[in-house]
This record gives sequence, C-alpha cells and structure tokens, in this order.
Amino acid sequence: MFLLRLITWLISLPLLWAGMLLATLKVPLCVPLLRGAWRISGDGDIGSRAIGAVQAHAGLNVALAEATHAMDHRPSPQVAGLAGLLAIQNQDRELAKDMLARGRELGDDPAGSLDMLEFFTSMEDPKTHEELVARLDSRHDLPPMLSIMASMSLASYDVYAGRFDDVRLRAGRILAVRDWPVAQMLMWTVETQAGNHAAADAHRAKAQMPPEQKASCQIVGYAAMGDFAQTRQLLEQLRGSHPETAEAVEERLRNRVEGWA
Amino acid sequence: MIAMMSFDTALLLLPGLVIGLTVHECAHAWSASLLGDDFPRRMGRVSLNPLRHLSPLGTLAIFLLPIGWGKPVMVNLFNFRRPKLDYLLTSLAGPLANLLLAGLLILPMLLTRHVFWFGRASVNAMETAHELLTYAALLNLGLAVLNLLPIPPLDGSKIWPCLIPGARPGMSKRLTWVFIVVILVLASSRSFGVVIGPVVQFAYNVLPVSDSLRADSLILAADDALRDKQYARAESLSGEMLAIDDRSAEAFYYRALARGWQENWQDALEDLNSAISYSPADYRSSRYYDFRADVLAHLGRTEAAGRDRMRALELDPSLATMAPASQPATQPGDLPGE
Repeated sequence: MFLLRLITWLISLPLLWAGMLLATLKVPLCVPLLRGAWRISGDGDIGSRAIGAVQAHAGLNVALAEATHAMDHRPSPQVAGLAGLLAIQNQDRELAKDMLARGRELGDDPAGSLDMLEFFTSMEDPKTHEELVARLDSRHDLPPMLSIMASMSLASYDVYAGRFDDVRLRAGRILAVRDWPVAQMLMWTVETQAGNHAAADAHRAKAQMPPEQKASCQIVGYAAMGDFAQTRQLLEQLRGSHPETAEAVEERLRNRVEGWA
Repeated sequence: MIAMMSFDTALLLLPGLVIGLTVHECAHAWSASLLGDDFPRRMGRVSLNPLRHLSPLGTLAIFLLPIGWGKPVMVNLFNFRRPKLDYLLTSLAGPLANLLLAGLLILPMLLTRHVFWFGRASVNAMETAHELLTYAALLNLGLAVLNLLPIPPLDGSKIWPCLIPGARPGMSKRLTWVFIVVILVLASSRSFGVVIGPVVQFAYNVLPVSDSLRADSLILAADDALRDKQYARAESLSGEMLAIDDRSAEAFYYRALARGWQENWQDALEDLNSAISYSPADYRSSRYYDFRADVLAHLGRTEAAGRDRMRALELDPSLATMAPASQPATQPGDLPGE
C-alpha cells in the first residue's frame, strides 16, 4: 500500500511541479495539470491546490462544485476543509457545516483548514463562537492565521467588555510579530481611551484597510468607551457613504454594547 | 558546476545531503516544539523520516545546481512565549544541527581514515565509506554556512530581524520569490563558491580527511587556481600535495604548469622530469611529454623538444588532432611566449 502510494506520488510530481509553476504565473493551464496530479496521487494536499487553482481561474461556484463532487469520490479532511471554506464564501452555511462534520469524520487536517472552517461556522452563534475562540486561543498547534483570528476575536470581546488592558496585550502581541490592520485599530481604541491621541493617530495611520472599515472600528471603539456622541457622529458619516456597512455596525452595537439604543 | 559532476560523485553526495537536510529541518521543528509551538509537530515535521522533509524539487536541484533545499518548516510565532528570541533560536537550530552532525562524523572519519584491512574488497569498502563520511561532513558544514547568509528565505535572513529592535520577523512571499531567483542565479554562476570554497578548504585542513582525498582536493584547487591565473597559488597548492605524496606525477605536472606560466622554465623542466619518472609509460604521461616539449623549446633545446613531442604522440595519438583552443589554461599550448 505504502509502495503504491509512493509510486503514484512520484508519478504525479512532474504534473504537480508544472502546475504549481504555472499557477504562480497565473496561467490557466495549471488547472488540468494540478487536477491530473491530484487524480494520480489521490493526495488531499494536492487536491486543495487543484481546487484553489480552479477557484482562481474558473470562479467560486465551479471550485465549490468540484470540491463537493470530490468529497463523494475522493474524500479527505483537506478537501472537506477547503470545500467548507468555499461554501462560507458562497454564503452556504449549511453546506459548510456538513463539510465540517464529514471532514472531522475523516480525520485531522494538520494545516488547520477544518479548525478554520469551525471558526467561521460558529460565528452565527456568538456564545458558541466565544467558547470556540477561547478554546482555540489556548491551543499551541494552530497555523498562524488562525491564531491571529482567534486572538483578534477575543480582543474584540474585550473591547465590548471594556477590558482595555487585555486588548492592549493582545493587539501588542500581534503587532510585535506582524503588521495587522485590525490590531492597529484596536491599539487606536486603547490609546484613545487612555487619552494618548498622538499615539492613537499613529496607529490609525498605520492601519492599512479601506476607509469604511477603519470608520467601523472607530465607531465600535468609541461606543466601547461610552462616547456615544462621537459614535453617532461617525455612524452618520458612514451612513452617508456606506449605508450597508453602517447598518451592520449598528446591528453589532445594538447586540453588544450596553446602553446603545 | 555540479551539473557536470559524474554520477558516482552525485551518488556519494546524496546520502550526506539527505541526512543533512533531514536533520536541519527536523531541528527547526523540534526546537520550535520545545519553545512552545506545536504547529510543526502537528504537521509531522518533528521526525527524522526524510520523506517528511525533502522537497522533491530541492533534492533534484542538487544535481542541476550546486544547491539543494528541504521543505521549509512553518512555525507559528504567536505560540512562542518570547516570539523574537524563540524564533531566533528556532532559526539557528537548523545550521547548528548541521555543525553538530559534522562534528559527530569526525569519529567515524578517523576510524576509516587509515585502511587497516588486508582484503582488497575491504580496502575499497573502507575508502568508499571514508569518502561518504567526508562528503557528508563537508556538505553539512556547507549547509550550515550557506544557511547563515542573510538572504531570504535562508535562515540567516530570519535572524537579523530578531536582533534589531522594532523589526518584525518574516517577509512578504513575493519578495521572498525575488530572492529565491537571486539565489538560483548566484548558485548557477558558482558565486556561492566565494563563501563555501574557503569553508570547504578550511574543513579539509581541520577534519581527519584521508591523504588521498586531501590530495584530490588540492589538485582540484590547483586546477581552479590555474584557470583563475593565480599561478603562485597553484604552485603552492601543488607543493602542499607533494608534501603529502612526494611521488605524485600529477602534483609535479601541476607545479610545472604553474612554474611555466611564471616563466620559470628550468624548475618546470625538473618537475616534468620527476612527473615522467613517477608515471606509468602509457597515455596518462603523454601530457607530461607534450608539456616538456614546450618547456625544452623555451630553453632552446629543440632537438630534445622534438623527441618529446614524438613520444607524446606515440603515447596518445589524439594529441595531434587536439586544437589548442580546446585546451584550457591548465594545459600546455598557450603558455607565455607560445
């Protein structure tokens, strides 16, 4: 069995290398090459690469269809994780949950795609999500991206709860390693709350994100500080330029900030 | 370039490379795990199984370029208690493991250095074992030094951001790709030899390398020196080889070439006389006669030169058809004054 897997893996390598090279150069020919490598090797990691290439060159729906089809014929935890994440992008939460359950039955994806999928599927229930991120935050075997996302989620819970010292610790820890825009805006909140406006402005300037997202972070920050006048003023400005974003932010404030009517 | 190396040499290099890359990557993963990051362990990288660490392309590259690589170990800095210090230690672990492995190879190298078995097959096996161990030690030293260069994605590039206050470890993937291309260009143009060459030469001097291997390395170095027109260095390297084996026809020949290029014809002639006296009278000595003909011509002894030229042609008739242009600087035919 091992020998057979080794032989098929070796045979698939030229297709995999050529496919990866062409994928780096964004040449559509990478799709059939990676599909071929996946078919020959049956390796879930190669499958993930192939589906990723399909998404880049044929779009989300085609990639999702191929991933779900693969789960019926060549199931693997990696492909289940990727299919679920594609389903999340396609707003299909039921399919994502189904993929998560099937993926977990198949085993673990060491690269963490199933953990990532669980992170996203739990978001619809704040209590479940809060418990999950606390659990993820205590683990030491996650990929870097998931560690950041869990830490940022916990920091946002701390913001809403007014635990600004904890926010500073979490955001500072992220920024010591990586320039992360949301962490910069969390530091803006902390510094503004502490009255250090120059430092706050410096963090806001460093946060590389679209203006409406920046404004959303500021609105949440002011609301968490209890400065509702500033919150309303910024919310009105955002409503003028990005009404949908403003509506989503207000919804969050209604659910999470005490005293916000 | 290693692209032109023989299949035998490639086979001798392969075990050392596989062991070196495996130990290097495993050391990164193991140290990360010790310092609190279990992500590499989850990815199966805390293992001495070479299949977990070898990049197929990186292994193939050693035969095409004088460079090879393993699958990089991805670490999660957020799992470290002191991210910069722990990342620094994790980055250093790979090169240190290679140095340690090279050190551990010294004892078996000592044991195989002198052939003490009498059966011919056993002698050959011991010589091959010694060669394998020597190449493994040299490769591991080379891996350690090469990886400490501050060029992404080599380990050296991960070390300095950990030492500079305010700098963040890590670099954008796009920029890393640019440096990978730079590394491949440098490798294929033999530019890394500037760094690796002195290390290998130093290692040859300090490691318990057998005399025959040391002599081989000196001849190669002398050949390189002649190509680079460093004639005094070539003469000195040939002299070092003669200190190991004072009956080496090849060493006398190389020293004669170096002396000939420095127009020291009389000493070159004496070296060639020695080379001819210590070499078998077959095609291998044709080069010595051919060059001695040149030297004798320079000394005005045309009759003797003619006899040597005839003798060279008798031993190797192909010399008559060999165009001077095909002869590199290490061959007679385009010496000064020719």
